[in-house]
Amino acid sequence: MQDSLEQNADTRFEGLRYKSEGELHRDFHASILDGANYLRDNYGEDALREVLFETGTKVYKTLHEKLVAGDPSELLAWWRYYMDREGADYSLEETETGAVLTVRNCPAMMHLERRGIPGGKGLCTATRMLNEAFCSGSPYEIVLEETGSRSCQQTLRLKAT
Amino acid sequence: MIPSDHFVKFYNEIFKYLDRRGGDALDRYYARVADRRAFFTLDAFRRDGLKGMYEYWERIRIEENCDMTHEYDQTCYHCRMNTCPSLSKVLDNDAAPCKRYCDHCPGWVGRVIARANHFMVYDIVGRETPRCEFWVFRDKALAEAKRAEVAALRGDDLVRTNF
Repeated sequence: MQDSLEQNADTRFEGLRYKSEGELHRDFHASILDGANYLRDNYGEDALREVLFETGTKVYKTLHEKLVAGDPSELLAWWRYYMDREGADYSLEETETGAVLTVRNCPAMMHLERRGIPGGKGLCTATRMLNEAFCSGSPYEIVLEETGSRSCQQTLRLKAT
Repeated sequence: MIPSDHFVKFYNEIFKYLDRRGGDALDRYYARVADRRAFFTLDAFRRDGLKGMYEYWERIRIEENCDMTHEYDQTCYHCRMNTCPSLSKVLDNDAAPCKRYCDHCPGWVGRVIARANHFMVYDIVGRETPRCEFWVFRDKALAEAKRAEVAALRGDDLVRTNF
């Protein structure tokens, strides 16, 4: 709890719309994967894309609107806050035109592995779709490269014109 | 990575999508969720009955930061969610809540409880009120009596059962 309080007092997280606190219920990573699989298997990939578009542009309305306005600050704060909160092994490097998030041990993938739940890469697909939604109508794109079973690099950069 | 904290906001968007599709799309999803939750719960519910239910929701109380009170005796498990963290997160949201958001809980809980041969009565209380209550009985007659009592208080739309 003290960590959460310190996180909330950290000025790096100013402007972040949702700052969750308290215990983590990591089984929700499995629930996210299952929800995504259910939509894809029963209604097709476009259904999953539609739901994640709504999530990325309406749930994360302020983060999305800032990206559209050319301001990635809330996305970076969101990455930092939740990677810290979930205990990820990661680094976030800001660049002149964006940022590079390097995840060496993804907390979601680690939890699914511990639980013996297969198909975790479905979460990477969902993350790509969420990133597309974040960046829709903005000057940015996020390129996600899977670099291992639990690792990836996500590069926020200006779209090529 | 979608944070585990934000699962319910994603869940809410799934419900809205399925609700737009109409028919029994939402109910079929609740059945799927029940199958998944059964993986974590059904053995204990069958083996330990009301005690197993208490132990499961005690873990949920801690992990999901629930303000809830619950207890069990020889005839009934009773859970009162004083502040539902799930609906609270959905209401603390720039996206609109699904009008049927609260139905997912009795939707999956009731199915799993039925598979453990118990009878559930669920009082949703209000669809924008992050508070609810449910009872699980071994004896169907006791569940029927509780259902009548809650329906008289809330009306049929806010009461769910698995029988």
